[in-house]
Amino acid sequence: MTTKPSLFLDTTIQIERVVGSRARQAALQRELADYRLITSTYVLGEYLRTLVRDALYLHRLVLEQQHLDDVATAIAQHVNKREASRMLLLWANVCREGIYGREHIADQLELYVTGGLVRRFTFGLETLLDATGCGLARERATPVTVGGVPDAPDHYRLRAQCTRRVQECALAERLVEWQEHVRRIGAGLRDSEEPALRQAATLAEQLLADPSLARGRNCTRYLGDVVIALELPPDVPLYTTNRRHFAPLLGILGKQLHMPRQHALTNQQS
Amino acid sequence: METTVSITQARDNLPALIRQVSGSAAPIIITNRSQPQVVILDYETYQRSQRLALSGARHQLTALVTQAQTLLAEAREGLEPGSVENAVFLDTLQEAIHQVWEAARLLNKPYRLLGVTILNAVLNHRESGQVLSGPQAETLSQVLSLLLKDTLDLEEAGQADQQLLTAGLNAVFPVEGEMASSYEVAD
Repeated sequence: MTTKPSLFLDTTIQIERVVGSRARQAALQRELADYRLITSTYVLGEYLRTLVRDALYLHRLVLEQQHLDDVATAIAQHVNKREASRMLLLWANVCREGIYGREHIADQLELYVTGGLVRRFTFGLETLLDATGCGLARERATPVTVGGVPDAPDHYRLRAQCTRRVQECALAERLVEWQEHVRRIGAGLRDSEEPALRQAATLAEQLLADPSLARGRNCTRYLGDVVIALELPPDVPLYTTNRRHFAPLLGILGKQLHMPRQHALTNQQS
Repeated sequence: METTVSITQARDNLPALIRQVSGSAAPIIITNRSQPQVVILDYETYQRSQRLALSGARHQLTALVTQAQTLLAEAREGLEPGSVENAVFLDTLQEAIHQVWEAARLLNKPYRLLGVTILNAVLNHRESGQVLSGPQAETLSQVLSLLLKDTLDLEEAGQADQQLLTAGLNAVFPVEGEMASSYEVAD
């Protein structure tokens, strides 16, 4: 009997697995069937504060706007344009042909927010690593209440921002253990052409002096890819769509990037 | 006999209006700019009407679930993916499940969310153009039975979602577009 090899799924692949196009989901399903699937609570935290929170915000907009047409306008006026573009994609998805009006869209988004999306995140997973003990990964959407009384019917909240004031993870402690790797990332990416990687390198060097800097905004905004690269088990390849960031990071750490079958073919031909 | 009063009259006479309604089956309708807006109802009458509405909704839901299950049981073998016959069957099933969801919405949140889970799974499957397999029809029928339970909690509704997913019936729609790339760098 042969044991399947393991594969670590990052946030982008998890999102594609859940809401990617029909063809992409089918291809992923075929490909992933050959592996034991692993991911981490840190990835779950990223998933919650992106896809799940986008769905939650969209759900609130649907309940608040008088007309469905106003939802797209409200999304376009959203301050964070990156979030806005993600929500527009999600909006186009839920507001599809065959949908039975506003109530159907609201119920559908409520299903996504109250567990539907998290259930799909964990579907088929064999292991959920918890190297960082991410506190945000334990958060779930809860009804908004004021003094124990529902504030607005069916409105939800999800705490998705890490704060330095409250220690609710073991990331700083892990960074001390991974110090040598952090040092290599700082030195190896200092001159990267990719601004996000240069920024991560600068932060990595600061973390050597003060690992607690990893908590809070730094963790969720700048360190995501670095943390995933560090927590990735050495013998398990990482599957991501973000090769631009992860190829140099994993190269420095001597870890592997998963090469999907069609990419492998393309590279052999070129 | 119901009484109709304006918001201003209701504000000025609220204690008297409450006394008038208490113990009486007759409601008081409050209008805003001549349009009926709110009803003041004796609490026991309100509870009785809620029980009646709930009982009516359950009765209706039972009939619709049975109708959908009959349709699933009679699903013909040998339908071809992409064929007109398959499309007609899935359209009929979708409409039956749509009615089930509408009735489930009249009950509480777990029923409403389970209803939309089943409806979305059927809609998603119909969009795929695939044939509903025997095991999938059986799973749908089992999950529909949960709507007939006297009580249902969110955990059970969630398990049903997982059960459908395991059978290849997904209640989350795919996004046509470059979804993952827009998530590559966290903000």
